[in-house]
Amino acid sequence: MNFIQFNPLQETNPGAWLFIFEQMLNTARIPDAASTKQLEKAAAAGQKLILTPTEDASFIRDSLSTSPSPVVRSFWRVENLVRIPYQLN
Amino acid sequence: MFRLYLICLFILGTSTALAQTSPAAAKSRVSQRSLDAAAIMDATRTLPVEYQASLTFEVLDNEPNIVSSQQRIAWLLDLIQGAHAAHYPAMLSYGGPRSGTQFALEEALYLKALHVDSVSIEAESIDRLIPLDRDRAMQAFLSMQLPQSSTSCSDSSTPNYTPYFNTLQRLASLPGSSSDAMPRALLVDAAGRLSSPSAISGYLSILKDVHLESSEWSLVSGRVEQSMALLHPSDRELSALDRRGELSSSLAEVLAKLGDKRQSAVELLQAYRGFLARGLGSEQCSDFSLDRSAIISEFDALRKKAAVTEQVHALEMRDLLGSPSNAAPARKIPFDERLRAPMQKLFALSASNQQKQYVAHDPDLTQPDSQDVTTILGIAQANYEKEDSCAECRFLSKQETLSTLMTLLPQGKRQGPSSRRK
Repeated sequence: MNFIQFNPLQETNPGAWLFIFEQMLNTARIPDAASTKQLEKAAAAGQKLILTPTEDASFIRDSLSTSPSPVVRSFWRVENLVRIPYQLN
Repeated sequence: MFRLYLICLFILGTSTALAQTSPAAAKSRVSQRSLDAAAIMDATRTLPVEYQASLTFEVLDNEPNIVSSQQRIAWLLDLIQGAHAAHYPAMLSYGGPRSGTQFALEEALYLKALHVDSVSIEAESIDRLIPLDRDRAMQAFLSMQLPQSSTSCSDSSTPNYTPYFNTLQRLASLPGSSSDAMPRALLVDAAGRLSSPSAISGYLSILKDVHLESSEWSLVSGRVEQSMALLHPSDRELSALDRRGELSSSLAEVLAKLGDKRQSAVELLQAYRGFLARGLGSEQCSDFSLDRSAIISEFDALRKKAAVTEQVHALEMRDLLGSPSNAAPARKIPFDERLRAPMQKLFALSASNQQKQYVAHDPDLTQPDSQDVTTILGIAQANYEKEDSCAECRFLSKQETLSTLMTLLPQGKRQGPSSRRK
Protein backbone atom coordinates (compact mmCIF):
# COMPACT_ATOMS: atom_id res chain seq x y z
CA MET A 1 0.00 0.00 0.00
CA ASN A 2 2.71 2.47 0.96
CA PHE A 3 4.54 1.69 -2.27
CA ILE A 4 1.49 2.91 -4.19
CA GLN A 5 0.28 5.74 -2.02
CA PHE A 6 3.65 7.44 -1.65
CA ASN A 7 4.84 6.86 -5.20
CA PRO A 8 5.82 10.17 -6.89
CA LEU A 9 3.96 9.11 -10.06
CA GLN A 10 0.78 10.03 -8.21
CA GLU A 11 1.76 13.63 -9.00
CA THR A 12 3.96 13.33 -12.06
CA ASN A 13 1.89 10.85 -14.12
CA PRO A 14 -1.62 10.44 -12.70
CA GLY A 15 -2.69 8.16 -15.58
CA ALA A 16 0.00 5.54 -14.92
CA TRP A 17 -0.51 5.74 -11.14
CA LEU A 18 -4.29 5.51 -11.40
CA PHE A 19 -4.12 2.48 -13.61
CA ILE A 20 -2.35 0.52 -10.87
CA PHE A 21 -4.28 2.07 -7.98
CA GLU A 22 -7.65 1.22 -9.55
CA GLN A 23 -6.59 -2.39 -10.02
CA MET A 24 -5.76 -2.64 -6.35
CA LEU A 25 -8.97 -0.89 -5.33
CA ASN A 26 -10.99 -3.30 -7.44
CA THR A 27 -9.49 -6.33 -5.74
CA ALA A 28 -10.65 -4.91 -2.39
CA ARG A 29 -14.28 -4.63 -3.57
CA ILE A 30 -16.94 -7.22 -2.86
CA PRO A 31 -18.31 -9.07 -5.90
CA ASP A 32 -22.06 -8.77 -6.44
CA ALA A 33 -24.22 -11.60 -7.80
CA ALA A 34 -23.35 -10.78 -11.42
CA SER A 35 -19.59 -10.62 -10.89
CA THR A 36 -19.65 -13.75 -8.71
CA LYS A 37 -21.35 -15.55 -11.58
CA GLN A 38 -18.71 -14.21 -13.99
CA LEU A 39 -15.92 -15.43 -11.71
CA GLU A 40 -17.52 -18.88 -11.41
CA LYS A 41 -18.03 -19.10 -15.16
CA ALA A 42 -14.47 -18.02 -15.94
CA ALA A 43 -12.98 -20.44 -13.39
CA ALA A 44 -15.15 -23.28 -14.71
CA ALA A 45 -13.91 -22.52 -18.24
CA GLY A 46 -10.34 -22.90 -16.98
CA GLN A 47 -9.38 -19.23 -17.44
CA LYS A 48 -6.36 -18.09 -15.47
CA LEU A 49 -7.74 -15.33 -13.27
CA ILE A 50 -5.58 -12.65 -11.77
CA LEU A 51 -6.53 -9.67 -9.63
CA THR A 52 -9.50 -11.54 -8.21
CA PRO A 53 -11.13 -10.31 -4.97
CA THR A 54 -8.49 -10.42 -2.26
CA GLU A 55 -8.75 -11.61 1.29
CA ASP A 56 -6.65 -8.57 2.18
CA ALA A 57 -9.60 -6.29 1.34
CA SER A 58 -9.99 -5.05 4.91
CA PHE A 59 -6.25 -4.31 5.16
CA ILE A 60 -6.44 -2.29 1.94
CA ARG A 61 -9.55 -0.42 3.07
CA ASP A 62 -8.00 0.39 6.45
CA SER A 63 -4.90 1.73 4.73
CA LEU A 64 -7.02 3.90 2.45
CA SER A 65 -8.93 5.38 5.37
CA THR A 66 -5.79 6.48 7.19
CA SER A 67 -3.80 7.58 4.16
CA PRO A 68 -2.15 11.00 4.35
CA SER A 69 -2.62 11.36 0.58
CA PRO A 70 -5.63 13.54 -0.34
CA VAL A 71 -5.97 11.57 -3.60
CA VAL A 72 -6.17 8.21 -1.83
CA ARG A 73 -8.56 9.60 0.80
CA SER A 74 -10.86 10.95 -1.93
CA PHE A 75 -11.10 7.49 -3.46
CA TRP A 76 -11.79 6.00 -0.04
CA ARG A 77 -14.58 8.52 0.60
CA VAL A 78 -16.21 7.68 -2.75
CA GLU A 79 -15.89 3.95 -2.03
CA ASN A 80 -17.79 4.57 1.20
CA LEU A 81 -20.39 6.73 -0.47
CA VAL A 82 -21.43 4.48 -3.35
CA ARG A 83 -21.44 0.72 -3.51
CA ILE A 84 -19.13 -0.26 -6.35
CA PRO A 85 -18.96 -4.01 -6.91
CA TYR A 86 -15.82 -5.90 -7.91
CA GLN A 87 -15.45 -6.11 -11.68
CA LEU A 88 -13.76 -8.96 -13.49
CA ASN A 89 -11.74 -7.34 -16.27
CA MET B 1 -46.96 -21.79 20.24
CA PHE B 2 -48.88 -18.83 21.59
CA ARG B 3 -45.57 -17.18 22.61
CA LEU B 4 -44.29 -17.62 19.09
CA TYR B 5 -47.47 -16.03 17.76
CA LEU B 6 -46.96 -13.05 20.13
CA ILE B 7 -43.36 -12.69 19.04
CA CYS B 8 -44.43 -12.68 15.39
CA LEU B 9 -47.06 -10.05 16.13
CA PHE B 10 -44.49 -7.96 17.95
CA ILE B 11 -42.02 -8.19 15.05
CA LEU B 12 -44.76 -7.40 12.55
CA GLY B 13 -45.89 -4.42 14.64
CA THR B 14 -42.35 -3.09 14.94
CA SER B 15 -41.63 -3.42 11.24
CA THR B 16 -44.96 -1.75 10.39
CA ALA B 17 -44.05 1.13 12.68
CA LEU B 18 -40.65 1.37 11.04
CA ALA B 19 -42.25 1.26 7.62
CA GLN B 20 -44.54 4.12 8.63
CA THR B 21 -41.64 6.34 9.64
CA SER B 22 -39.33 5.20 6.86
CA PRO B 23 -40.33 7.60 4.03
CA ALA B 24 -39.24 10.66 6.04
CA ALA B 25 -36.17 8.88 7.37
CA ALA B 26 -35.31 7.63 3.90
CA LYS B 27 -35.74 11.13 2.45
CA SER B 28 -33.48 12.55 5.12
CA ARG B 29 -30.87 9.85 4.44
CA VAL B 30 -31.02 10.57 0.70
CA SER B 31 -30.55 14.30 1.18
CA GLN B 32 -27.69 13.69 3.63
CA ARG B 33 -26.00 11.40 1.09
CA SER B 34 -26.56 13.98 -1.60
CA LEU B 35 -24.83 16.59 0.58
CA ASP B 36 -22.02 14.14 1.30
CA ALA B 37 -21.57 13.48 -2.42
CA ALA B 38 -21.45 17.20 -3.20
CA ALA B 39 -18.91 17.80 -0.40
CA ILE B 40 -16.69 14.92 -1.55
CA MET B 41 -16.73 16.05 -5.14
CA ASP B 42 -16.08 19.66 -4.14
CA ALA B 43 -12.96 18.50 -2.32
CA THR B 44 -11.66 16.78 -5.48
CA ARG B 45 -11.52 20.05 -7.43
CA THR B 46 -7.97 20.71 -6.30
CA LEU B 47 -6.80 17.28 -7.54
CA PRO B 48 -5.43 16.63 -11.04
CA VAL B 49 -8.22 16.25 -13.61
CA GLU B 50 -7.51 12.51 -14.08
CA TYR B 51 -8.58 11.86 -10.46
CA GLN B 52 -11.55 14.21 -10.72
CA ALA B 53 -12.75 12.35 -13.82
CA SER B 54 -12.28 8.90 -12.35
CA LEU B 55 -14.11 9.81 -9.11
CA THR B 56 -16.94 11.64 -10.90
CA PHE B 57 -17.52 8.76 -13.31
CA GLU B 58 -17.53 6.26 -10.44
CA VAL B 59 -20.24 8.17 -8.62
CA LEU B 60 -22.33 8.86 -11.73
CA ASP B 61 -22.06 5.34 -13.13
CA ASN B 62 -22.86 3.58 -9.88
CA GLU B 63 -25.38 5.88 -8.24
CA PRO B 64 -26.45 8.64 -10.64
CA ASN B 65 -29.48 9.71 -8.62
CA ILE B 66 -27.42 10.54 -5.56
CA VAL B 67 -27.44 14.16 -6.75
CA SER B 68 -29.78 16.24 -8.91
CA SER B 69 -29.46 16.28 -12.67
CA GLN B 70 -28.37 19.95 -12.46
CA GLN B 71 -25.52 18.93 -10.17
CA ARG B 72 -24.53 16.09 -12.52
CA ILE B 73 -24.51 18.49 -15.48
CA ALA B 74 -22.34 20.95 -13.52
CA TRP B 75 -19.81 18.21 -12.66
CA LEU B 76 -19.61 17.05 -16.27
CA LEU B 77 -19.23 20.58 -17.65
CA ASP B 78 -16.38 21.17 -15.15
CA LEU B 79 -14.63 18.06 -16.43
CA ILE B 80 -15.11 19.09 -20.06
CA GLN B 81 -13.59 22.45 -19.28
CA GLY B 82 -10.63 21.04 -17.33
CA ALA B 83 -9.85 17.98 -19.50
CA HIS B 84 -7.07 19.76 -21.41
CA ALA B 85 -4.86 19.65 -18.29
CA ALA B 86 -4.47 15.84 -18.33
CA HIS B 87 -0.93 14.43 -18.62
CA TYR B 88 -1.72 12.49 -21.82
CA PRO B 89 -3.50 14.45 -24.60
CA ALA B 90 -5.01 11.25 -26.04
CA MET B 91 -5.01 7.49 -25.65
CA LEU B 92 -1.95 5.87 -27.18
CA SER B 93 -1.57 3.17 -29.79
CA TYR B 94 1.78 1.48 -29.88
CA GLY B 95 3.45 1.50 -33.28
CA GLY B 96 6.93 0.20 -32.49
CA PRO B 97 8.28 -3.28 -33.02
CA ARG B 98 6.95 -6.27 -31.10
CA SER B 99 9.24 -7.90 -28.61
CA GLY B 100 8.91 -11.39 -27.22
CA THR B 101 8.40 -10.97 -23.50
CA GLN B 102 8.37 -7.29 -22.66
CA PHE B 103 5.61 -4.79 -23.25
CA ALA B 104 6.45 -1.23 -24.20
CA LEU B 105 5.06 1.28 -21.71
CA GLU B 106 2.66 2.82 -24.24
CA GLU B 107 1.52 -0.61 -25.34
CA ALA B 108 0.70 -1.66 -21.79
CA LEU B 109 -1.13 1.56 -21.02
CA TYR B 110 -3.17 1.30 -24.20
CA LEU B 111 -3.96 -2.37 -23.82
CA LYS B 112 -5.14 -1.75 -20.31
CA ALA B 113 -7.52 0.95 -21.46
CA LEU B 114 -6.10 4.13 -20.05
CA HIS B 115 -9.13 6.41 -20.22
CA VAL B 116 -7.90 9.44 -18.35
CA ASP B 117 -6.31 11.38 -21.19
CA SER B 118 -7.72 14.75 -22.33
CA VAL B 119 -9.70 13.39 -25.30
CA SER B 120 -11.19 10.48 -23.32
CA ILE B 121 -12.19 12.66 -20.35
CA GLU B 122 -13.87 15.20 -22.60
CA ALA B 123 -15.58 12.63 -24.86
CA GLU B 124 -16.73 10.39 -22.02
CA SER B 125 -18.09 13.39 -20.09
CA ILE B 126 -20.07 14.35 -23.21
CA ASP B 127 -21.38 10.75 -23.43
CA ARG B 128 -22.77 11.10 -19.89
CA LEU B 129 -24.17 14.55 -20.69
CA ILE B 130 -26.22 13.34 -23.69
CA PRO B 131 -29.17 11.92 -21.66
CA LEU B 132 -29.11 14.91 -19.29
CA ASP B 133 -28.87 17.81 -21.73
CA ARG B 134 -28.56 16.84 -25.35
CA ASP B 135 -28.13 20.33 -26.75
CA ARG B 136 -25.30 21.13 -24.36
CA ALA B 137 -23.66 17.79 -25.20
CA MET B 138 -23.88 18.66 -28.89
CA GLN B 139 -22.39 22.13 -28.28
CA ALA B 140 -19.58 20.68 -26.17
CA PHE B 141 -18.76 18.18 -28.91
CA LEU B 142 -18.69 20.90 -31.56
CA SER B 143 -16.18 22.85 -29.42
CA MET B 144 -13.95 19.82 -28.99
CA GLN B 145 -10.58 20.01 -30.74
CA LEU B 146 -8.48 16.93 -31.33
CA PRO B 147 -4.85 17.62 -30.38
CA GLN B 148 -2.55 18.23 -33.33
CA SER B 149 0.29 15.79 -33.45
CA SER B 150 2.77 14.27 -35.82
CA THR B 151 4.46 10.96 -35.14
CA SER B 152 7.85 9.98 -36.47
CA CYS B 153 10.26 7.08 -36.05
CA SER B 154 11.56 8.73 -32.89
CA ASP B 155 8.18 8.05 -31.22
CA SER B 156 6.95 4.61 -30.31
CA SER B 157 3.25 5.39 -30.22
CA THR B 158 0.65 7.50 -31.93
CA PRO B 159 -2.53 9.14 -30.56
CA ASN B 160 -5.72 7.13 -30.66
CA TYR B 161 -8.96 9.10 -30.91
CA THR B 162 -11.42 6.22 -30.55
CA PRO B 163 -13.39 7.82 -27.65
CA TYR B 164 -13.99 10.99 -29.73
CA PHE B 165 -15.41 9.00 -32.64
CA ASN B 166 -17.49 6.79 -30.34
CA THR B 167 -19.09 9.97 -29.00
CA LEU B 168 -19.62 11.27 -32.54
CA GLN B 169 -21.36 7.99 -33.39
CA ARG B 170 -23.64 8.28 -30.33
CA LEU B 171 -24.59 11.84 -31.23
CA ALA B 172 -25.08 11.01 -34.92
CA SER B 173 -27.40 8.12 -34.03
CA LEU B 174 -29.77 10.35 -32.05
CA PRO B 175 -33.09 11.19 -33.64
CA GLY B 176 -33.38 14.76 -35.05
CA SER B 177 -33.35 17.50 -32.43
CA SER B 178 -34.37 21.12 -32.20
CA SER B 179 -30.78 22.30 -31.98
CA ASP B 180 -29.05 23.94 -34.92
CA ALA B 181 -26.64 21.06 -35.44
CA MET B 182 -28.73 18.10 -36.58
CA PRO B 183 -27.14 14.79 -35.55
CA ARG B 184 -26.33 13.45 -39.01
CA ALA B 185 -25.08 16.85 -40.18
CA LEU B 186 -22.53 16.53 -37.37
CA LEU B 187 -21.22 13.36 -38.96
CA VAL B 188 -21.01 14.92 -42.43
CA ASP B 189 -19.28 17.98 -41.00
CA ALA B 190 -16.68 15.86 -39.15
CA ALA B 191 -15.65 14.22 -42.45
CA GLY B 192 -14.16 17.54 -43.53
CA ARG B 193 -12.06 17.90 -40.37
CA LEU B 194 -10.01 14.71 -40.33
CA SER B 195 -6.52 16.02 -39.78
CA SER B 196 -4.53 12.87 -38.95
CA PRO B 197 -4.33 9.22 -40.01
CA SER B 198 -5.72 8.21 -36.59
CA ALA B 199 -8.70 10.48 -37.17
CA ILE B 200 -9.29 8.95 -40.64
CA SER B 201 -9.21 5.49 -39.10
CA GLY B 202 -11.50 6.44 -36.20
CA TYR B 203 -13.97 8.07 -38.57
CA LEU B 204 -14.12 5.12 -40.98
CA SER B 205 -14.64 2.74 -38.05
CA ILE B 206 -17.90 4.46 -37.10
CA LEU B 207 -19.03 5.24 -40.65
CA LYS B 208 -19.65 1.57 -41.35
CA ASP B 209 -22.28 1.43 -38.57
CA VAL B 210 -24.33 4.56 -39.24
CA HIS B 211 -27.32 5.09 -41.45
CA LEU B 212 -26.87 7.72 -44.16
CA GLU B 213 -28.91 8.64 -47.24
CA SER B 214 -27.29 8.15 -50.68
CA SER B 215 -26.63 11.87 -51.06
CA GLU B 216 -24.97 11.96 -47.62
CA TRP B 217 -22.76 8.98 -48.52
CA SER B 218 -21.60 10.80 -51.59
CA LEU B 219 -20.80 13.94 -49.57
CA VAL B 220 -19.04 12.02 -46.80
CA SER B 221 -16.88 9.89 -49.09
CA GLY B 222 -15.89 13.01 -51.06
CA ARG B 223 -14.77 14.74 -47.86
CA VAL B 224 -12.84 11.69 -46.64
CA GLU B 225 -11.04 11.60 -50.02
CA GLN B 226 -10.13 15.28 -49.65
CA SER B 227 -8.87 14.75 -46.10
CA MET B 228 -6.77 11.76 -47.18
CA ALA B 229 -5.29 13.79 -50.04
CA LEU B 230 -3.95 16.36 -47.57
CA LEU B 231 -2.37 13.88 -45.18
CA HIS B 232 1.13 12.51 -45.04
CA PRO B 233 0.98 9.47 -42.72
CA SER B 234 4.20 8.38 -41.08
CA ASP B 235 5.59 4.86 -40.91
CA ARG B 236 4.81 4.79 -37.17
CA GLU B 237 1.23 5.97 -37.58
CA LEU B 238 0.50 3.35 -40.22
CA SER B 239 2.23 0.74 -38.11
CA ALA B 240 -0.05 1.49 -35.13
CA LEU B 241 -3.17 1.55 -37.33
CA ASP B 242 -2.18 -1.58 -39.21
CA ARG B 243 -1.55 -3.45 -35.96
CA ARG B 244 -5.05 -2.73 -34.78
CA GLY B 245 -6.30 -3.82 -38.22
CA GLU B 246 -8.82 -1.01 -38.06
CA LEU B 247 -8.04 1.06 -41.10
CA SER B 248 -8.21 -1.58 -43.84
CA SER B 249 -11.13 -3.50 -42.30
CA SER B 250 -13.18 -0.32 -41.79
CA LEU B 251 -12.36 0.84 -45.29
CA ALA B 252 -13.50 -2.52 -46.70
CA GLU B 253 -16.86 -2.13 -44.97
CA VAL B 254 -17.28 1.46 -46.13
CA LEU B 255 -16.47 0.40 -49.71
CA ALA B 256 -19.11 -2.33 -49.44
CA LYS B 257 -21.65 0.26 -48.28
CA LEU B 258 -20.77 2.50 -51.23
CA GLY B 259 -21.33 -0.53 -53.48
CA ASP B 260 -24.75 -1.13 -51.90
CA LYS B 261 -25.66 2.49 -52.67
CA ARG B 262 -24.41 1.98 -56.25
CA GLN B 263 -21.72 4.59 -55.75
CA SER B 264 -18.21 4.40 -57.13
CA ALA B 265 -15.41 3.14 -54.91
CA VAL B 266 -12.73 4.23 -57.35
CA GLU B 267 -12.09 7.74 -55.99
CA LEU B 268 -11.90 6.65 -52.35
CA LEU B 269 -9.51 3.79 -53.14
CA GLN B 270 -7.33 6.04 -55.31
CA ALA B 271 -7.18 8.54 -52.44
CA TYR B 272 -6.21 5.72 -50.08
CA ARG B 273 -3.52 4.53 -52.48
CA GLY B 274 -2.01 8.01 -52.62
CA PHE B 275 -2.23 8.28 -48.83
CA LEU B 276 -0.26 5.04 -48.35
CA ALA B 277 2.32 5.70 -51.06
CA ARG B 278 2.97 9.29 -49.92
CA GLY B 279 3.55 8.27 -46.31
CA LEU B 280 5.42 5.02 -46.73
CA GLY B 281 7.44 6.16 -49.72
CA SER B 282 9.12 8.92 -47.74
CA GLU B 283 10.29 7.35 -44.50
CA GLN B 284 11.06 3.87 -43.20
CA CYS B 285 11.82 3.30 -39.52
CA SER B 286 15.07 1.46 -38.92
CA ASP B 287 13.40 -1.10 -36.64
CA PHE B 288 11.11 -2.28 -39.48
CA SER B 289 8.02 -2.13 -37.27
CA LEU B 290 5.71 -2.03 -40.29
CA ASP B 291 5.17 -5.02 -42.55
CA ARG B 292 5.01 -3.32 -45.95
CA SER B 293 4.22 -6.54 -47.83
CA ALA B 294 1.12 -6.96 -45.65
CA ILE B 295 0.01 -3.42 -46.58
CA ILE B 296 0.41 -4.31 -50.28
CA SER B 297 -1.63 -7.51 -49.89
CA GLU B 298 -4.39 -5.75 -47.93
CA PHE B 299 -4.62 -3.02 -50.56
CA ASP B 300 -4.81 -5.60 -53.33
CA ALA B 301 -7.62 -7.40 -51.51
CA LEU B 302 -9.56 -4.12 -51.25
CA ARG B 303 -9.21 -3.48 -55.02
CA LYS B 304 -10.41 -6.98 -55.85
CA LYS B 305 -13.32 -6.88 -53.45
CA ALA B 306 -14.49 -3.53 -54.83
CA ALA B 307 -13.95 -4.86 -58.40
CA VAL B 308 -11.82 -1.86 -59.41
CA THR B 309 -8.55 -3.58 -60.33
CA GLU B 310 -8.51 -1.89 -63.73
CA GLN B 311 -9.19 1.63 -62.50
CA VAL B 312 -6.96 1.58 -59.38
CA HIS B 313 -3.35 0.45 -59.75
CA ALA B 314 -1.87 -2.08 -57.36
CA LEU B 315 0.73 -0.93 -54.86
CA GLU B 316 4.20 -2.29 -55.36
CA MET B 317 7.12 -2.53 -52.97
CA ARG B 318 9.05 0.13 -54.89
CA ASP B 319 6.20 2.59 -54.17
CA LEU B 320 6.64 2.05 -50.44
CA LEU B 321 10.38 2.16 -49.90
CA GLY B 322 11.09 5.29 -47.93
CA SER B 323 14.47 6.52 -46.82
CA PRO B 324 15.67 4.95 -43.56
CA SER B 325 15.07 6.90 -40.38
CA ASN B 326 16.48 6.12 -36.95
CA ALA B 327 13.97 4.57 -34.60
CA ALA B 328 14.10 5.45 -30.92
CA PRO B 329 14.09 2.47 -28.60
CA ALA B 330 10.74 1.90 -26.90
CA ARG B 331 10.42 2.35 -23.13
CA LYS B 332 10.06 -1.24 -21.99
CA ILE B 333 8.43 -2.52 -18.84
CA PRO B 334 11.15 -4.73 -17.38
CA PHE B 335 10.41 -8.38 -16.88
CA ASP B 336 13.07 -10.48 -15.19
CA GLU B 337 13.20 -13.95 -16.69
CA ARG B 338 14.09 -15.38 -13.27
CA LEU B 339 10.49 -14.63 -12.25
CA ARG B 340 9.04 -16.88 -14.91
CA ALA B 341 9.47 -20.30 -13.27
CA PRO B 342 8.25 -19.41 -9.73
CA MET B 343 5.39 -17.32 -11.15
CA GLN B 344 4.29 -20.18 -13.40
CA LYS B 345 4.22 -22.48 -10.38
CA LEU B 346 2.05 -20.00 -8.48
CA PHE B 347 -0.25 -19.52 -11.47
CA ALA B 348 -0.79 -23.26 -11.77
CA LEU B 349 -1.53 -23.51 -8.06
CA SER B 350 -3.82 -20.49 -8.22
CA ALA B 351 -5.77 -21.99 -11.15
CA SER B 352 -6.37 -25.12 -9.15
CA ASN B 353 -7.37 -23.07 -6.08
CA GLN B 354 -9.76 -20.99 -8.19
CA GLN B 355 -11.45 -24.19 -9.39
CA LYS B 356 -11.90 -25.15 -5.74
CA GLN B 357 -13.04 -21.70 -4.64
CA TYR B 358 -15.41 -20.69 -7.44
CA VAL B 359 -16.53 -24.01 -8.92
CA ALA B 360 -16.43 -26.62 -6.15
CA HIS B 361 -16.90 -24.02 -3.34
CA ASP B 362 -14.30 -25.90 -1.34
CA PRO B 363 -12.61 -23.62 1.25
CA ASP B 364 -9.58 -25.92 1.68
CA LEU B 365 -7.08 -24.18 -0.62
CA THR B 366 -3.59 -25.51 -1.30
CA GLN B 367 -0.75 -23.42 0.12
CA PRO B 368 2.19 -22.38 -2.10
CA ASP B 369 5.86 -22.98 -1.42
CA SER B 370 6.98 -19.99 0.66
CA GLN B 371 10.41 -20.12 -1.01
CA ASP B 372 8.80 -19.25 -4.38
CA VAL B 373 7.09 -16.24 -2.84
CA THR B 374 10.29 -15.03 -1.18
CA THR B 375 12.21 -15.42 -4.46
CA ILE B 376 9.62 -13.41 -6.40
CA LEU B 377 9.51 -10.59 -3.85
CA GLY B 378 13.32 -10.38 -3.74
CA ILE B 379 13.65 -10.14 -7.54
CA ALA B 380 10.82 -7.59 -7.86
CA GLN B 381 12.32 -5.38 -5.14
CA ALA B 382 15.88 -5.54 -6.56
CA ASN B 383 14.65 -4.68 -10.06
CA TYR B 384 12.69 -1.71 -8.79
CA GLU B 385 15.81 -0.24 -7.25
CA LYS B 386 17.75 -0.41 -10.55
CA GLU B 387 17.36 2.85 -12.40
CA ASP B 388 17.94 1.58 -15.92
CA SER B 389 14.35 2.00 -17.09
CA CYS B 390 11.75 4.78 -16.89
CA ALA B 391 10.01 5.53 -13.57
CA GLU B 392 6.60 4.51 -14.97
CA CYS B 393 8.06 1.28 -16.38
CA ARG B 394 9.57 0.29 -13.00
CA PHE B 395 6.39 1.22 -11.14
CA LEU B 396 4.22 -0.87 -13.45
CA SER B 397 6.64 -3.77 -13.39
CA LYS B 398 6.91 -4.02 -9.62
CA GLN B 399 3.30 -3.30 -8.84
CA GLU B 400 2.07 -5.80 -11.43
CA THR B 401 4.20 -8.46 -9.77
CA LEU B 402 3.06 -7.53 -6.27
CA SER B 403 -0.62 -7.23 -7.09
CA THR B 404 -0.51 -10.49 -9.01
CA LEU B 405 1.07 -12.14 -5.97
CA MET B 406 -1.56 -10.61 -3.73
CA THR B 407 -4.34 -12.35 -5.61
CA LEU B 408 -2.48 -15.60 -6.23
CA LEU B 409 -1.69 -16.33 -2.61
CA PRO B 410 -4.32 -17.99 -0.47
CA GLN B 411 -4.88 -16.67 3.03
CA GLY B 412 -2.34 -17.82 5.60
CA LYS B 413 0.69 -17.70 3.34
CA ARG B 414 0.99 -13.97 2.84
CA GLN B 415 4.05 -12.06 3.87
CA GLY B 416 3.99 -10.07 7.09
CA PRO B 417 3.15 -6.38 7.41
CA SER B 418 6.80 -5.31 7.10
CA SER B 419 7.18 -6.71 3.59
CA ARG B 420 3.86 -5.21 2.56
CA ARG B 421 5.25 -1.80 3.27
CA LYS B 422 8.26 -2.17 1.00
